[in-house]
Amino acid sequence: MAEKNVKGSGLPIKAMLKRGEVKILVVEDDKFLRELLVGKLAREGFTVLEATRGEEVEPIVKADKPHIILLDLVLPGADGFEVLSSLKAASESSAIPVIILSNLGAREDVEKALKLGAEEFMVKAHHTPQEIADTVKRTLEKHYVGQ
Amino acid sequence: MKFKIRHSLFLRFFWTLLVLGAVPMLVSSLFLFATYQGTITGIIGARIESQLQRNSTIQVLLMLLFVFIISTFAAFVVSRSISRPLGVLTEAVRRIAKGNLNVHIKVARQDEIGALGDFFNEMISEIKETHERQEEISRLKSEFISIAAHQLRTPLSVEKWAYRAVLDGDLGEVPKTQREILEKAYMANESMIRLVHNLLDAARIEEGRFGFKFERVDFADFLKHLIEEKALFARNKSITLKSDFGAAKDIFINADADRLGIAIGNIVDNAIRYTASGGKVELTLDADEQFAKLAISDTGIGITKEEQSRMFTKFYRGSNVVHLETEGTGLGLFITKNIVVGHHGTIWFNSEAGRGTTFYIKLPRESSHKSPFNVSHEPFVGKL
Repeated sequence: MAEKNVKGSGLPIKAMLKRGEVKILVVEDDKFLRELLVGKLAREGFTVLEATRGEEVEPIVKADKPHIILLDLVLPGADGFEVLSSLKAASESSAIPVIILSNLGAREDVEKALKLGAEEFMVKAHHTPQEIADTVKRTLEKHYVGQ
Repeated sequence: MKFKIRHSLFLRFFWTLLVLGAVPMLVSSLFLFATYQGTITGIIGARIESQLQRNSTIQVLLMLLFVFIISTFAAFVVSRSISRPLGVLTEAVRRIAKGNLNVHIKVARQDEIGALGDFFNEMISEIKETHERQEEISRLKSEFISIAAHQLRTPLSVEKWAYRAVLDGDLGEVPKTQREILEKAYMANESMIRLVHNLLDAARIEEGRFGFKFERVDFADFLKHLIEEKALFARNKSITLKSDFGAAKDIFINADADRLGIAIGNIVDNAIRYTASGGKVELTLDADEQFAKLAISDTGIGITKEEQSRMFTKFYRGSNVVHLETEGTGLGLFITKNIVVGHHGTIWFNSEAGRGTTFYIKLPRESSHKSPFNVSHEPFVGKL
């Protein structure tokens, strides 16, 4: 499915993944969860950047310009909502798609995140790392079509 | 009601006072009359005697009229002094019955009625305190469940992802025997995740935070999607999942599609889960002017008579299903009922142990005045 969609789109995700050119930032404070997810994403061909605190996001985004961000909501320091709004407020990062990956999942949280500009909201306990990786790819394809 | 009380109180006092006034007066007049008549008969002339008689009768009648007027006036004053505070109390009780506990009555009397008023105020403040405490406890409980559930989700995610990594072969080949055990552990973890999810929904329902977002939904279309989602589950259990929407076309309802999907999905899941392989689960839809009626029937194990009244209770699971399937949260039907009621609908069932169950869900159509379109943000606290 991925291959078919990629043809004709602006960003050849599959080819870029093979060359390790797609950069993803994973913001997750739980060490073990982060390792599992990062392992999966790395095997899928992503170049993975990691952050454990909300405050670390901005400098990484400025320096490394990730193509997509996986963002947890409950974080030490600035929480995910704050990080999301400042990402969307800054011109250099507002176009980067953000997928929320959290164990909050109440409708208010989902709506708040989507309103702030998140592309997707995934409840960690309800998705496997493979599903998350697939969603990341799908979002990238959708987002960078025609660019 | 208020008038009647006053009226009857007034009448009682009136009759009592009238009798109290009139009877002694009449008796004493009679004695006087008899005494004087005996003494003066023969002394005075017959003409004067009859005049005296007439005068006395008029006097007695005037006295009676006077007693009547006094009784009316006195009865009015006394009954009013009782019925007025009673009216205030009645009004206060009526407000409390309607759920308003912010009632305080003013009592400026030193008598028994004053004492009643004081007690009344005391009672209200105590009820209010208890009520507030209960609300606080219920809020804390829900909050505790919410937090606990979120905290549970993190380790459950860790387990899920870790099992997945191993099962997907990310860490190398997994021998068949190990795989089987890991698959079982994975499934157990999944059911735990489902339990936490249901717990969160139930806690939100109880907190009154389970708001609905209503939109126009083509009911038949919605059900077709739902059946497609459940088709795999039914196929895996070799159960025929059928639908009969007959002439039921263009039935639009105002619904929160996600929530209604959970509600009806729970019933369909149960129907499939508790029906033996080879059985049948069928969805039938029909409608009248006001309502759409969905029937979900199965050929499953049924619900025993004794347990039928408890099916929508939180954490209740039928004794026969507990033996059949150890997992299951006992929250599904509780959530379902709350969602259906939140849509201004009704849910009920017919069941016979061993033969099968049919659940009915009746929802107001879009055109119906009962349609919940305009009350979408009203928090709902079920009385279940």
